[in-house]
Amino acid sequence: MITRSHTETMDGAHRALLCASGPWVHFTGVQPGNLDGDIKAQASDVLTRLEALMADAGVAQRDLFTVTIWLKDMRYFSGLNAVWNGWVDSADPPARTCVSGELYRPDLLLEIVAVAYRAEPAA
Amino acid sequence: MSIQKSGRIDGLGPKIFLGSAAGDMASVCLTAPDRGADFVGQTRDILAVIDDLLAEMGSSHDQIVAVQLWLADIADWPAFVPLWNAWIDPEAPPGLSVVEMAASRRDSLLEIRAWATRNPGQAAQLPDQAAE
Repeated sequence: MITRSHTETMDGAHRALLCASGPWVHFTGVQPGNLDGDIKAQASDVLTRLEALMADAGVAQRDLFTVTIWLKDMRYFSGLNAVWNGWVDSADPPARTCVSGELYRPDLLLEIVAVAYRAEPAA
Repeated sequence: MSIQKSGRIDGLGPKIFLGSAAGDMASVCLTAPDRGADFVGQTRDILAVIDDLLAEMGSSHDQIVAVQLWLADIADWPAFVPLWNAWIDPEAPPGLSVVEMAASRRDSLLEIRAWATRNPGQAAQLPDQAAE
């Protein structure tokens, strides 16, 4: 049984930001809501958005299995990390990958793909 | 049974399987088998292989939960959208992330990885596994 929620379109492409099956929860292509901001603003924005999706799925930061960040350009790496370090539990940060590549819109600076594992699937 | 693999590739390139499954999860990743095709042709071919391999592993594209799309040129993104929308169920779509990445060769225009749930009991019995 797959649950799909937070559906939206990206240039018309239908997609669900949150898909869950059993203990596995996929957050795919999570982007900042406001693209009129620098890397720190967009990073905070996308993490806030991810956190809201995580709350809906009933998972906490400690439940994150993998986090992949696609960054438009590695020049934003330090700015991203400054925000990341403020967000994570410094004693138990998630496993993270960060790779650079151009994103679907020129003003989009980063997007997140995360997978979480929840021991007790939410009803 | 441990990990079931599907879509063996043997040639001048890497020796790999395109798909693998364990428990109730399956994953498939590939570039186009025919690089002579244009972007639309390469995309259609990849989606067809994903369908075939997911079926072999007891899954289907209705059970896809996440797709990662890598484009050699992000300018091809608009051409991907109608093919995607025709392939998925717009009422119950999977996740989708797209990013531009350098490809292994200039005629390889995109690569797709899909993650799907599956029913292990419906997986095809592959010859090497049937013999066990």
